[in-house]
Amino acid sequence: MSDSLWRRSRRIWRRTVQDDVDDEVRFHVQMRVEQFMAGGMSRSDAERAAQEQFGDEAQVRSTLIDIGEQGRRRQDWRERFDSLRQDIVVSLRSLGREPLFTAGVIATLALGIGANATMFGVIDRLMLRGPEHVVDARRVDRLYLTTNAGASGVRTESFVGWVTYATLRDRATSFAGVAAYSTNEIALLTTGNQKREIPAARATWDLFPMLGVKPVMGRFYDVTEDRPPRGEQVVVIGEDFWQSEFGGDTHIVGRRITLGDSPYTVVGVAPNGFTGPERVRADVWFPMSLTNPTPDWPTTYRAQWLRVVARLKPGVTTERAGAEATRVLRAAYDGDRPAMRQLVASLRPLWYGGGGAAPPVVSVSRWLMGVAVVVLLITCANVANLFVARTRRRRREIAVRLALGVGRLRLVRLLLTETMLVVFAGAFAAVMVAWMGGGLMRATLLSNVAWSAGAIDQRVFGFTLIVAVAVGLLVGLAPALEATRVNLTGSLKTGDREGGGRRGTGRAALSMVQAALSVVLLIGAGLFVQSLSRVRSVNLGFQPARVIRAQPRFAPSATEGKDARAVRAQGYQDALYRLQTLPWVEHAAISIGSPYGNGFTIDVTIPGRDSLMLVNGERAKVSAVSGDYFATLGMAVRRGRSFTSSDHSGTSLVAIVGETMAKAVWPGEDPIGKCLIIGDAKPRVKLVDGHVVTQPAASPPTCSSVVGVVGDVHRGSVREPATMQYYIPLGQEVGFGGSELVVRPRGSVADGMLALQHAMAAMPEFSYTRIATIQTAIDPEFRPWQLGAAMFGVFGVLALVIASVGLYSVIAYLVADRTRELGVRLALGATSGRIVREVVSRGVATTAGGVVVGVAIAIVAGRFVQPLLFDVSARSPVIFGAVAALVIGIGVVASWAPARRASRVDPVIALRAD
Amino acid sequence: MEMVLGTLDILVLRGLNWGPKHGYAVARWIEQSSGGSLTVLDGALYTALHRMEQRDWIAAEWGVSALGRRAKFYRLTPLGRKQLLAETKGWSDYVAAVGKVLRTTTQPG
Repeated sequence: MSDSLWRRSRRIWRRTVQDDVDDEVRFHVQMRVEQFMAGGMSRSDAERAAQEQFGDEAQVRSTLIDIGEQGRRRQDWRERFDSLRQDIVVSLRSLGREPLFTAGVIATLALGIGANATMFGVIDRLMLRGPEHVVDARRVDRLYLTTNAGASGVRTESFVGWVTYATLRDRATSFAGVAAYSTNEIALLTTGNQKREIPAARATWDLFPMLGVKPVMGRFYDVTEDRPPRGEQVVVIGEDFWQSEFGGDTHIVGRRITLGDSPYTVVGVAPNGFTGPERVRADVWFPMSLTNPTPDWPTTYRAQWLRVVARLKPGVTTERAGAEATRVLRAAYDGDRPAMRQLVASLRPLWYGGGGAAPPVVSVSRWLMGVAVVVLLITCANVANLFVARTRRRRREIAVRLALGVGRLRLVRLLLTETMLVVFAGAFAAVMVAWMGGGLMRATLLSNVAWSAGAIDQRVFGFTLIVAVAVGLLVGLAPALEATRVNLTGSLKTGDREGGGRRGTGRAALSMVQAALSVVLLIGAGLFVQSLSRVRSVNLGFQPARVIRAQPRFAPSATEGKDARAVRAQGYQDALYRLQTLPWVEHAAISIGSPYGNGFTIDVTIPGRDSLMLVNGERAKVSAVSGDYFATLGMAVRRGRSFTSSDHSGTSLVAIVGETMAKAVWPGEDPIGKCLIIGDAKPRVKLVDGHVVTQPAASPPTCSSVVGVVGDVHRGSVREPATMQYYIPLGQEVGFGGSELVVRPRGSVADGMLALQHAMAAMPEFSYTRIATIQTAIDPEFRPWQLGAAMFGVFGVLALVIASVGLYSVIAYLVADRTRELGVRLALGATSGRIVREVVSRGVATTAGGVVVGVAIAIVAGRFVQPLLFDVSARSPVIFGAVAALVIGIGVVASWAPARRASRVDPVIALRAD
Repeated sequence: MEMVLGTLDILVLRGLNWGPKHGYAVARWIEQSSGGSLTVLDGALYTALHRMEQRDWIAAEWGVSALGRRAKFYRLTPLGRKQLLAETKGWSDYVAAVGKVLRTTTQPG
């Protein structure tokens, strides 16, 4: 109701209430006057007496008017409520008469809105809201350092050393708090004889107060317990770990638990869902200073294993903070990398990835949100289409109502109520869809993210509600307004046979839009599926799915009181011998450094040159491996020989180089027999415990003679460019360590893993062995493509189904609308084949129009998707062609059934019909 | 005699118990049936009538008086009838209790 109308009607009430009161009082006073005059008073006396008898008339009048108006208002509300209830009852009844229509619309909406709610839930958690228990997460950022190291190009990194953290903490003034942490660690929990790996993290003591998290029990460790060079043996445990592992023991604080081989005292319990600045689950939190990446970690820039987060002081912008951090860090740097004196520090949101940009999961999720919106648009178009069709079916009913004097406004309201009821039912179902969909996405595609709350919370709920209202208005208003514009006499006379003017052109346009959007989505699905298959078939240079990697942990008793280094080396050798005798083992080897595992670079030169060149910005990577390594990994030996059991610490120094290194270092020459000088060739100045120590060069430098060339392998990513790689025999390595066993089983990998677990458990020197295929380390990299392929696929098929149902209903409607005309033509001798062709071509024309529009959109959007694809052009003609053919095919199928029906129209019935 | 507070409602309801009446008739009925000893300001009477109308104890309708004039007639609703019964009983109990105290012969203490 418009504002002026509202006011006018208020004025009407005011007058009537006042009139009533006036009339009533006047009547009363008159009666009194007459009564008193009958008692013998003069008129003027009687009037005065009547006034006296009445009391303060003005006062009473205004009281009465107030009472009356209050009543009016109350009654008005009651009427409005009643009419709403009535509308709902009428709507329910009318929807109930067409259960198929109602169910179809609700299901469509459930999927369309549900997809959006699901994606909103994911995006909300990943990006919009900070990690849980972080107070005002928008003010907390992560430190990134951008350096330009000449040949290796500009790099942005978030991993830094302790010194960087301490410098920022002590010297920068932009921050209310600075802390460092490292996640994704594994702790070995020992209870009795049971050992089990649990996720762990390290944090400086100031992380907890900086984030603002409060312990549910006990306290977090403090500055005295986290002080270099070595902190106290204390831990903070997570609440759900406390519940599951210790049954929520109320005396947990002060209790000692065994992690790895040493006891730790529990000082407090972190609240459920607390994951630190990242969404990576951690059951235990260690003081950062308990770590020991290198002996000199508190003073060196070389050990870079932690990430720094900081809370900005109020009013400080990230730009200003970044500028200050840059200044402070440059000034403090005293290491030997000149690039570090030119570094640029920046502060970026917590959800950014390691390289300072949105991680793939986030960018793919953003895309999927966009896709979900497209699906919602298709849904709206379809539901609007169905409602328009429905109102057309009811044209006569509506005309009757209008003729009977039902106001247009009321009729619009009635039709809108119907739409809203259906939309809200759909929204309710959508919440269920989001609940299931969110659970599914979390379990499969986003399993590396720590989720603590359910997929549905009040934010997702609110989002769904807002979307539902918007959809309801969008979908409901147009057909409702359209319907009331009915030509009264025409509709009453001929029912739904004629009238309505523009025959379904609007509906055909909606169908075309639907077809276009499904084309876009299906092309997206095609691109991602092909990316996924390309990325899966990338030759990594070895066979990650066939290689089991075993990382044993030595029992404390095995190394006690002995030379730990020697015991370990011997332990690996013994284990290797034993494994090699087992019948199920095809190949086994020991390696220091392996693909998707540890990587080492040490100084390497060739005679006559200062240092080796960089290839693709990387220095040469070295691994020390035992003889059977190349066979175990399935690497190709291109030239020369592999290592044998006679290559070890005591024998002459040899090396095997990768193809890229061979070509880069000795272009056009045979690398066999060439000399590599591996290890420190020049004196090095080092800072140890604050003292300058000069390490002498290995003198004289000795040659490792190249004995073979092997194929390159990917070291850590399917996308990485070729790097220089070389191998030396196990035992000849200097300056790096960390052995692993690699095993290639004969039979199935799953059986091999079990057998390996047994074999390792049977060896007393090992307390626990972590066993996994190398493939396990590769899988996370595939997730974005999996996510993209799965979701574009699901949404694309969904869109196609909705679009084909839409097209079907348009064509079916068209046929029904033209029954009489078709009947006449058939009676006049038109062949049924001709009719079928005509109807089908109409459907195909609509679809083809959609395909053209969709392809155009896909070509434009391709530019933005390209970076997410792998080795596939975003304008791949094969995929475009296949999708176009598929959608047009569906168009033919969808219009076939109505076309058949059209050709079988009985002219007699058609002409008689109404 | 002045009206005891809160008793006007019950008198009005009682007056309407005989059938629909306009406000003036209700006033006259109270005067006559009390033998003229209960006087009430007409304004107060109308305020009471309108309040009870909002509470749905009585319903109002415009009609024509005995003398052919337009007048607003009030009648008792089922809810008002219930209210009348309840208040009548409450009033009798109250009167009985007060009477009992007044009739008592024992000395306090």
